Amino acid sequence: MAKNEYGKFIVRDAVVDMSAMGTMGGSMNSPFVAGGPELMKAIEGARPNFALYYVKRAGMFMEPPHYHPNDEYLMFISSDPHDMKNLGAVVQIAYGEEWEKVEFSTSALVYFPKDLQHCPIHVKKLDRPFLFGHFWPMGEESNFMPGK
Amino acid sequence: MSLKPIKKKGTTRRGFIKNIAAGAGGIALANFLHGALAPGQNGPVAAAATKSNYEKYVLAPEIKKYQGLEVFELKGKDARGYDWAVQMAPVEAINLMNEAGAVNADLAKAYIGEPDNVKDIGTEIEISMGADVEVYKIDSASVMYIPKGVPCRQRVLKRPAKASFALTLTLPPKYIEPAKPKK
Repeated sequence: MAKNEYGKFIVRDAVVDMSAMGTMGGSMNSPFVAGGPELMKAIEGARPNFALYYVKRAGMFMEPPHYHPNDEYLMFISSDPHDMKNLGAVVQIAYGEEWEKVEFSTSALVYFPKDLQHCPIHVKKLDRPFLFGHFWPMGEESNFMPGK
Repeated sequence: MSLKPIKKKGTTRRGFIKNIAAGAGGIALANFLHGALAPGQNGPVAAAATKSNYEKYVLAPEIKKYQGLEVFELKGKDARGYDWAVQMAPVEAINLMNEAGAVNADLAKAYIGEPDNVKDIGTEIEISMGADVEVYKIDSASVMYIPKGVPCRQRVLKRPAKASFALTLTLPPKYIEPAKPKK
């Protein structure tokens, strides 16, 4: 009989509709791909805290200024398989309590060191949807702290 | 700036993911760990009109090419100094990348279809895992976890009908909160 030791580590149809989050995400984003509770129960090693989806429209992300007691990364990645450098969008991110704005239009991983306030995030211009998601390397709890 | 914690709110993306992933309980955060290690290897890409102190946090990937297809890769270190990595590849490039074998780190993979139908990845992918080569197939948006040291190979069985993508995350070891010193 064939072994099935690793089947528990594969989640198919792993799509979560944003409507489960109420108003979160609005109409800017696609549903997202993420592992669910059953996958997490099966894992004894590192915890993958991430989600993957598309930003489909220009506009302002709904998250208010905030910070976390741990490092966070956001993925902004081109959806053109032949041009993964050009994001196809212009994104502006506010850093710090002074909301200092940083703007970019190429694929990037955006780093938020622990305790550094960030947001709002503004997709100023969008020529085509881009891949987006968060990644917490250490898999910690969220611990959302409101900023100023 | 006040760092006083408040009640957790379940309305953020991270919070929501945490909630749906809460089965095994969360990993506590060690406040003494300081994220001073510089992540990324390729420098910032931000193009602010004026010089910003924060441009350095917008990290540029390495773009690898496989017969006209491009793959996004970026590596860094967590607060403890362990390696992590992010790779985003067109599903069509998977066979060309020819990545196989065991990796000395836990991995997570996610497969996503097009923006208007993320569930449909437009192809079938064969996943083989373990020393006994267990074979699985996926044909929809999926998430996969590969424990450290477990051999894994993925093979696209037919040319994707649409531009779908595969995300691979190299995960640092599980964080275990150190025991508090006895008073």
